[in-house]
Amino acid sequence: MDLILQLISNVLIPGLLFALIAAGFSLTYSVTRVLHLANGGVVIVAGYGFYTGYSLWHWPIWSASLLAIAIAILTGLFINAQIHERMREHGIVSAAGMLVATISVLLIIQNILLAIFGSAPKSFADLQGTVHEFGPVIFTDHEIRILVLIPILLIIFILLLKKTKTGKALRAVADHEQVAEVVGIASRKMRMLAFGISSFLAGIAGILFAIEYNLDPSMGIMITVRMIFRAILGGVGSIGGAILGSLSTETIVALTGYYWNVSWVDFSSFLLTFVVLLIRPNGILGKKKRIV
Amino acid sequence: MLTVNKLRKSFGGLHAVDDVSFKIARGKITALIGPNGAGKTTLFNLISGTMKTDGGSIMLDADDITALSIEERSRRGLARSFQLSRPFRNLTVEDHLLLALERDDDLFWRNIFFKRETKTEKHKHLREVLDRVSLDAPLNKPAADLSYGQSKLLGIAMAMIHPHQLMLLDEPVAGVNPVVRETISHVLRKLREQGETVFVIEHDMEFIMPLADEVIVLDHGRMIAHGTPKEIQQDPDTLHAYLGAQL
Amino acid sequence: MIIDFIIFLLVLFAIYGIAGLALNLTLGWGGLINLGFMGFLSIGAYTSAILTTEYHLPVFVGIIAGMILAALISGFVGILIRTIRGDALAIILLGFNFTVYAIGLNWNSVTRGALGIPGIPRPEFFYDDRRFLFLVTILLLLTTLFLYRLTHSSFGRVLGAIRDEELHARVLGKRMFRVKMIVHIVSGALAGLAGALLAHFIRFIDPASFFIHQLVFVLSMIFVGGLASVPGTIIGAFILTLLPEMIRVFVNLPSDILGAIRGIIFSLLLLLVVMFRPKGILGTVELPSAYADRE
Repeated sequence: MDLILQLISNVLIPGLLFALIAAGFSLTYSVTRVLHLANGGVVIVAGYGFYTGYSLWHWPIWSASLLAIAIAILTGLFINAQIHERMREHGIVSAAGMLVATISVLLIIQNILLAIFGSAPKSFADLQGTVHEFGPVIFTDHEIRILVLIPILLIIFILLLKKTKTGKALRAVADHEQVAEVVGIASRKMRMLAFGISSFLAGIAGILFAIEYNLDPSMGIMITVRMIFRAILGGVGSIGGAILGSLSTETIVALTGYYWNVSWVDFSSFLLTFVVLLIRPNGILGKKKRIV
Repeated sequence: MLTVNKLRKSFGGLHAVDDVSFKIARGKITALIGPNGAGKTTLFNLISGTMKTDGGSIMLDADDITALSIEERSRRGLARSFQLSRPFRNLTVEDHLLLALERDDDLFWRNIFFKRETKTEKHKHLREVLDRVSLDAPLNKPAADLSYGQSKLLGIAMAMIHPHQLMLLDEPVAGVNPVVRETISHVLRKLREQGETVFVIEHDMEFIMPLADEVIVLDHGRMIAHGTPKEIQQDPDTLHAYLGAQL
Repeated sequence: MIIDFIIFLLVLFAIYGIAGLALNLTLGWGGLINLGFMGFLSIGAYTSAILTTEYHLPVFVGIIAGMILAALISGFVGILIRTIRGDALAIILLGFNFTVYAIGLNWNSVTRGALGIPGIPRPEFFYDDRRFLFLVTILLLLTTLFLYRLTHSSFGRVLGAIRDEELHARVLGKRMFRVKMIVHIVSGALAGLAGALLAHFIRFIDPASFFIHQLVFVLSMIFVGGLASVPGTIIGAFILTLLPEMIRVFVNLPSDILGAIRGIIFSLLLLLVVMFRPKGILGTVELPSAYADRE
């Protein structure tokens, strides 16, 4: 029992962080049809934004967070407007071209951060707070923040998508762009909005991530790769799938770490995704035609 | 030649092809007609293998081809043209015809190390085929640059040049201008004279009725009539299906 | 000595030329978004490196073993992914690359993990850079001839048809799975060759030698040079191997910043080419549109 509780706590923290990142990624994919591989870059941009505000300029935590989120949103909007929208306007854009472009953007972001901040990891140990013991389970202040904040954010996010007019418009563009245009939804605006929202989520995740796991530029690729596996496991384009995919992958990761070896967690999580995709090519919750 | 027996296919609850059985006779032009959504193209997809059947069987001569792959059916002698004739975007007209003509061009060692392409002999043959369908385009033209009507003609030329026993043509004259329509009508007549077996989906009654030897009528996935054009034109079920759909 | 440096660069150019041709075979001619490419290079390099350092086998045996293993794994991956298409396929292959990286990093008893494998021997006769250049030039020429022959044969035409419209090619009787498997195996073998040559030339490998940065490097080569073009790939390899050295010669910067700047330049170059000249300098094909299934 103790073991199970401990495993659950090991699953929840990274699971929720990745759920937030993957949910934004899924939203951009379903609305714009672009695999936003630069999303991991947006996450670490937010992390370094926070580092700049909090550690370099000694701002209070709230204003540093606002700075980080603002930078993340601007980065995401810039990527969409200057790269994806432009490529759309050029007409013939291959799937390979799109993917290669987003990978390039990710590497550009990562290398710019490397050039500015260097490769040494940045730590925010003082923000992790005191340690609390709940029986066999141990959480820091920061981890409690994650446990409370992310579920609230995800619920708000899903409610906004389901209930508001804008959310319905977003989903209409995701379902069928041309039809949505016909009923008067400006799909270009919706694509911008999707990138804005996903970058907002990535921004928050970036701050929480940096405090929990430290920060270095090479994390961009790692976060992106892990994010896509969790998202396609659940079914790209489905927000619920992103959450489910993140939590189930982290479960496998925790079990691998416990029964086998921590070194092999990426290997086993990839294997999980691969096996699921062989059985269900669209992921666990993915609908047909979401990802072909 | 082609025997279809109790063929079934449904999408969700919709029976696109429902218990259809018929035979296609060698050396004849058989037309498949029916209102929109009757399941004509689905039936073609089942025959050429691009969709899997839910039940029933398809025989080509004495061979059961129901379980065979698309490639294998094609190699047994099924040639097919598509309703939306989307060409290979980076290939030329010549490439298209050669792809249809050659059978073992997907073999690796032989084609790379042993075979030399002899162009002139083949080019003559290819030009003849283009002449037969009155497609006036240079062989080295990128197929993506052909007009809609031309790409339809190319699709028919490819089906003709493909080594085959049976040709499946999916709406050959849909959306083409009267000149091309006349050409295709001429081509079909020629094919019949040569003793080809053709199975053709067509919407355009005025076009197909004078050409067809036999007509099969499909409505809501069911075969409601099968006979000569004359019989079909007087068949009450067919009239009902068409008029009912139109009214 | 400047001449030694030029020889060094030419060897790299030849090796990356082979790698570029292998990647272009799958991406340009085959239309397969092979983001797992570096994984196959890595398998070739590690196989040959381990066989020649741990087991002291002759270098040529190691290289051939590397090619065979890379080809086999590439073929095996080809069997596994045969029902997956498009973006999902690209991501699975990226994941394959990532997995090979993770194995290299964590299977310490065999790969020495992050420490990498030092002291990889050169072939006996081709021990110095000049002789090695001779070897790789011959291999590049052979690969080029082979690829040229392959893509200008009727097999190449079938490959193009499958890339452009898979279903139509199958309706014409082209045995798609077999053709794709051949492409996987040939590309895997060539990638294994390039990886093994790189290992024996640099004499040191670690998991990071075959990761996303290098993938972007080889991708840049073929996107700049041209998709589905043999001369394009060679030109791309030439430009891209010389470019970073130019930066190093003309700009004096500390090494970690230099690495970052190189990364930025490659990625930016790739991004600009993809955005403004998707066919590349000598490219012959347009890959299917990313939005085709949406319209």
